[in-house]
Amino acid sequence: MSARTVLLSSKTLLAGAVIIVGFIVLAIISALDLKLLTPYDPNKINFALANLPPSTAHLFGTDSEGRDVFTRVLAALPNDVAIPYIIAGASALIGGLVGMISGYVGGLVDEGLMRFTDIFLAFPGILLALAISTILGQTHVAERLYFSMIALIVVNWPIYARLVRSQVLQVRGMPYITLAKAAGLTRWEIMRRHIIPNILSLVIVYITLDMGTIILFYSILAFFGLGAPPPTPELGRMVYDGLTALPGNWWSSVFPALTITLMAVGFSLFGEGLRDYLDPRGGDYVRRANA
Amino acid sequence: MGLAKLIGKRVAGALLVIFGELVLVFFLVNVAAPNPASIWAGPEASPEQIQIITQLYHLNSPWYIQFLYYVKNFFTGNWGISPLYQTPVIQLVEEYLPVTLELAVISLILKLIIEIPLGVLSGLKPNGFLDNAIRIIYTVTRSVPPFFVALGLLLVLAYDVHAFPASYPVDPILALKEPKFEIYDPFNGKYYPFWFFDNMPILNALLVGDFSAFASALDHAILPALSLTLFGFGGITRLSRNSMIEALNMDYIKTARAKGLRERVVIYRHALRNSLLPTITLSSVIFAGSIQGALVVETIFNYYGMGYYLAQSLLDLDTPSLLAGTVVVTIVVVISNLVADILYSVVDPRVRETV
Amino acid sequence: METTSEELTLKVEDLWVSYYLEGREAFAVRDIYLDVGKGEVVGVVGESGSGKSTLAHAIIGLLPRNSRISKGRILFKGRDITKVKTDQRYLYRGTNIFMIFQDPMSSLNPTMKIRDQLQEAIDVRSGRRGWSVGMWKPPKGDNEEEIVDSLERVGIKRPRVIMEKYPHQLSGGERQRIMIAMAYLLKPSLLIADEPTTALDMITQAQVMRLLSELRENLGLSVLFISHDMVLVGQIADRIVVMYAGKAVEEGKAEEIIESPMHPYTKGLINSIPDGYKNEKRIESIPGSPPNILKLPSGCSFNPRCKLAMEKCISEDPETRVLGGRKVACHLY
Repeated sequence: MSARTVLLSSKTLLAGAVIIVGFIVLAIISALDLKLLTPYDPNKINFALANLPPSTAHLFGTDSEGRDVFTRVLAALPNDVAIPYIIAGASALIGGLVGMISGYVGGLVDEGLMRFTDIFLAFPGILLALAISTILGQTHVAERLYFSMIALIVVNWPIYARLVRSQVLQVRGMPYITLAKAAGLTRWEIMRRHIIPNILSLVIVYITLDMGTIILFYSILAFFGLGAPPPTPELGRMVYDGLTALPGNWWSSVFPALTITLMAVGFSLFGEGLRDYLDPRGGDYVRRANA
Repeated sequence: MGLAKLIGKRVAGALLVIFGELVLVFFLVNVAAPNPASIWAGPEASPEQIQIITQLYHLNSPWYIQFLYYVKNFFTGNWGISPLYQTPVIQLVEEYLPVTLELAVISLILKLIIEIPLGVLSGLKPNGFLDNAIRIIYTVTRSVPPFFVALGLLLVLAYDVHAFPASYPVDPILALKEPKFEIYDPFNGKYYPFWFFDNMPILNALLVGDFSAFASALDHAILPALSLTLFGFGGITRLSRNSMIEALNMDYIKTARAKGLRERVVIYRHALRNSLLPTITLSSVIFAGSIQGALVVETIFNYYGMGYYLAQSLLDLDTPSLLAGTVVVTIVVVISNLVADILYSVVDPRVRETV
Repeated sequence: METTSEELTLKVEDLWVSYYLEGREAFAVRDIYLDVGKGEVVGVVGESGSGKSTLAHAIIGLLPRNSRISKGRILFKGRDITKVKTDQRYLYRGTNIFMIFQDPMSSLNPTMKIRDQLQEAIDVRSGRRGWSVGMWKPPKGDNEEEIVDSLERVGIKRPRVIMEKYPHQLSGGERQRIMIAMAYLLKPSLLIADEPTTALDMITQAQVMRLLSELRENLGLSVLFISHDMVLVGQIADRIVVMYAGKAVEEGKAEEIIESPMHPYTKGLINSIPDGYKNEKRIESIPGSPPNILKLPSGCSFNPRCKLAMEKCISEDPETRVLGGRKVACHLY
């Protein structure tokens, strides 16, 4: 089946894909030129326009400093869409490498690496990420965003290491690998020709399932001001800033939160559809169900 | 005996994780960060204070000496002084931790008593109305950031409907804490108030017999607890549904039916028990998630627990509090994993053998 | 064998069982007639996918969710149990009909002690099937001696030690013995054994077969023995039914079927036995594999694999003919 027929075969998969692609397109346009999408400046403070409720002029209303919330949401998209991909990709890369070495070399190396992975896996992820990025970013406010990304990669890679290791062990036990060895292929060739292609598809499926969680994790970091430094708008931070204007001005915190939710729902739907397609029996990938 | 060996192994693993966290935190502050003294002292510290801190934490010694002091200090309860509250961190943890533990336990209990029956029912009728409804709900709840759940409840139930209070663990007028639990110290022959249960607002009010405080504490806990419950709601349901379906397809269920047992006995005694096994593991994961979700939820509801305290320490760069809090939360998480592991092996005899 | 239905333990008439597969109904059991007399052992032989296991599950009322009895009657001691409501079917299981499954590794509850699982059988026999038995665990009854006795009967040494163990601590053979001990405690009128020795090694298999024979003699129960192994069935069965693609292609006394098979499929089965019964012939196997029940061939289902297939076999499904106490469904006769 081609990718197109797979997509059309499931409504959840299609809905997820539309949301994901929609956000990517919006983020790219916003990064190129925000003026194409909105007439307002995301950072221009004008107290005359403060706390205006949602209307046709201001779709999401204005915040307590008179900035258009819709414009700020759009301005936040380039960062907030791209960063979860970077975190997922880097985590998969690092975790994948560790898992592959662990599974392929085996023995003491495997034992050591897996113990190390288990320790990381047992840490309270969000809190650790918050602590890492707060402490490292304390003296370098401008680089905080990078520390936050590193922090999220630090707490996220172990799952990939586990996943890839178990997959390597499984594939390594297959008869055709023994055959390939007998045929005189080197370790690296076996890895490149047989093991990596097998693992790659699984990792990609897992990334789509993981993206929603990463989006939530990152939004919590941003909520505590550990995302991109001001004046760049951050969805999570907008929610936090909006709290002070409650209960009169609910829109300046609800709409950014809604946007984050929609981003995560896209991946949730896509992941769900993909899993149904790959495993119709519906075995749940149980992991950090919360947080 | 298998069980003792298993527990020993798990405890060793738990200690390793705690030690790992200590190492990580130490390297983070004392090695990776550019200026450890100012981090320990807080952003508004004067040069004299930094001087004192440098001496106090042995920051001029080589890193391994510093590490030894750090570990020794941690295990002797010397967790530094919060620059924000000007109070020893350990006292703050004693005050705030029980509040959040109580909240997390309440939300976990709520989750379990709502979600497991739903999961069993959807497992008995896969792809029925209930099953599909839960599936859709879970797609959304697992994608909603915890602050949005809390925000929604706050706006609707507190500000709009005025059904529940918007902030604080208990009405400030009623916030009287009388010690109830006491621990006997055989060396001094004295009784000391035991902070752990005394600092839980609901439990304390109940034990002291102050029913207006109890009602108020319960009332104030509802929204934060509900936020934590709704966050990721459906995860346990989906899991128990899947394991129920799996259990019902096992041969031993056929044997139980072939024996002539009533269907409800088959389900309760044979299927349910086995299908609940994976839920035990997930519960500890969810408990850890709730404790971390409390950071956001307690901030929104001004619920003065560990989450609120940690969030404040993040925002105000109160590093000693943040670091000790991170390690303490790790310990809580590790203990809850440990409890789940032990519980699992008590229920499932097969696990004991595989160690 | 002409008997009135009152003397029969089990009488199956015109039974059709279907599965709902890929959006349509597919028949796994078609047009089955089967009599099991009191104390009689009837063997059902066929390859995997022949519908023999589905037949067994239909009789005990444990068909999977996506299947149903679409036609026919199952008379247990003269009463049609297909008419019994689903929530009352349990009354016909256990003390009336009991079943032993293929995989002893998974047929016992992994989280319950052997003792408790056997206690349940005693509870059922003494009429305690409901809530009173306790929700999570059966109560520790005063039936310890009976449990020990049943374990001794199936040749378990140190029964008092074994009964305090969990299933995973026992071997496959031991677990299948536990299942037979359960039958001793339930004292059913009909025992269905669905490939009870397939998952076991040869020596354990022989022991379990001996225990099943003893069980039958001791309790005087009727047995429906289901297997793909003609030799095994020949050891224990009085009569044999050979099934192919959901239909009974041949039925008769065990020795007659084995000595002089009539249906080409039965002949194929007998010829593929490596050693023993038919020495003069070479070991042969039946070419091809049994058909998918979603795509049954026209006419006789066996025609694509039959060396003797005629044109009639493709156009017309053969009727079952009665020939001197034997039944066969083939155009050759």
